[in-house]
Amino acid sequence: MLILFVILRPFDFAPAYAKASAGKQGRLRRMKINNMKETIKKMAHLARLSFPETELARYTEKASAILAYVKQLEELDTSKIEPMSHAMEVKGWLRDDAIVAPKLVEDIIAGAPERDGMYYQVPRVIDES
Amino acid sequence: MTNQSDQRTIASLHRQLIRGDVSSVELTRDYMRRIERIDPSLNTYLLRSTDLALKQAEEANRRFKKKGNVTPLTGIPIALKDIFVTKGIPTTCGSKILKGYVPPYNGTAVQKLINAGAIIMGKLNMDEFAMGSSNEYSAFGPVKNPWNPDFVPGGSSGGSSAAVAADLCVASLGTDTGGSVRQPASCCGIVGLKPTYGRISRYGIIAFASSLDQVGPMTKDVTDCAMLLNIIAGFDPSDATSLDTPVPDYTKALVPDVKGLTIGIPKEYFVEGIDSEVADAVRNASEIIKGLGAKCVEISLPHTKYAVPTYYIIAPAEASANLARYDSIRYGHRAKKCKDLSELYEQGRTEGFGPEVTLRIIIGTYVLSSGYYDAYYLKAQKTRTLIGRDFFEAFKKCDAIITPVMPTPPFRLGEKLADPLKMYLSDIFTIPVNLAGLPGISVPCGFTNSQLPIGMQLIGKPLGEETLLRIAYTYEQATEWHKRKPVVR
Repeated sequence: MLILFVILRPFDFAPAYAKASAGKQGRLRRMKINNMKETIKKMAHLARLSFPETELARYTEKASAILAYVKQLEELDTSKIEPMSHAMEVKGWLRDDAIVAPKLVEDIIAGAPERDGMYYQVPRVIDES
Repeated sequence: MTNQSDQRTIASLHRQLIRGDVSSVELTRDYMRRIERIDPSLNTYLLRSTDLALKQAEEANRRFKKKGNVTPLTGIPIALKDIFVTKGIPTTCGSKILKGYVPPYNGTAVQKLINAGAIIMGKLNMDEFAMGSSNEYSAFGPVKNPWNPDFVPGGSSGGSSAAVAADLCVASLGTDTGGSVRQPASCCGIVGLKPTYGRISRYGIIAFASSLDQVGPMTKDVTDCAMLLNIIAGFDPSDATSLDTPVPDYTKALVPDVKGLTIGIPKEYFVEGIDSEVADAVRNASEIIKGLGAKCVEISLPHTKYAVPTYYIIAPAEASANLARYDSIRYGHRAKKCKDLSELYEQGRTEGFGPEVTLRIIIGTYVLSSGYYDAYYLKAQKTRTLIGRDFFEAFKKCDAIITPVMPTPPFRLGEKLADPLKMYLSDIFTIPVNLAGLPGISVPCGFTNSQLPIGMQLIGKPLGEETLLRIAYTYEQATEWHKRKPVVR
């Protein structure tokens, strides 16, 4: 039962009119799920991931639950708060502009799953058309 | 377990090695036999670097013979979470996507261990890309808790904690982004330290969330923790976020005296929902510390409840950027028969990443994407400021803070797998420390009725590791918890 609760949570934010009738609520809920599915599909594409419909549904459920959970930050007034990207003060610095470890290039390319001499091998990039 | 194994700490073995009671090669072989015998039931090692370890042990023998260049770690068998890149030794980060990856270099912490003469026994199991609190998200099967194989060893450094607890290495290194050193240390009844952000170089640890990741020693007692920290701490030009601050001799902090120190007890950490055995054990520990001469005061960290939601925006955001580098081209897993570059990326990444990592990449991409950035990512960064301020204010009243490491004892394998949020909440007390960049140490402070370990967390001011070690050492000297070992066969 707990799992069901978590899955449904993100859709508990439906506006009041959505609760007018069970049928209407069901339709709205399905619409929201479909919208979220499309969004998650888009995010997956941006992150260069792709999966079949069944997995998409599973990721949508889990992602929706987490996104709904993290939304509780909205309770806080942070209008006058500066954002923190690092906890400790980071002093940037530059090293000398000198070539170091030139042999590393060979070591690095040795790890490629497919290579051609000192080049990485990839499928065709430019369309023939 | 035998008395001999009770004594197998860095400190005790160092004395034996110096006296010549045992040689590093003998010790290394002994650990290899023990791993061979016991590890199949625990699954802590992903790779055993047998040849390299024996070579290192022979070199250590020579160092002892020559009586030169001997450090407290010379000849001591250490193992590494498989997140540390190791030259010539395959490194997976618990993921199929790094299949076949053999790094061309050693990270700084590892190189420091090798320079000190430590024996690298192998690479330890972990949650994939350090994302998890139970070690169940490893692509290579879960690790079992040596105290009871039906329970998780914690995560993400679950292999590191279980291996130390079961004496399959003398000590190990883990990494901690939201509790991944302290929480598994607590689950397995060992000591785990997450130092101040920047105290140890991150160069050569595979990045998860760069503003939170930190290397940490995992050891059988507080003395070993200080000895290991001495070797690996310090500024590193290869990590622009490492702190350019002198490294003290941390073993000098091992003084059994807490008089004059004030310990804060945050009221928000002892609320409804916390397991009563855990709460009692930590309260008893604070009473003992008080009895040893420290002053205890109640403090407030009002934004505690917002730490987990803040973390689950910031960490996936940084992870989605860090994990963009896995392109199926330069190293690791490569998808077969792809017609173009785009398909190669998508197929390689989809095949290579496990479900939890995939989920977090999706969340991270979402919270960083246009239209959601301000509502999620920027909001979380601002909340992070508030959480940091809570600690800053609290440390005006105290020198260190005592809390439980986790709200429950170790949980059963599979118990939290279906519900990611339930899993995330097991890090509720460790996450704020990463967000604020502070040092935190997990120290054994009791057992449940069913004989599972309980840990307390001590949180310090920035670079307050010495104070933490002093309190932890004083407590340890007054108690016997760290002497209890699991019976593993």
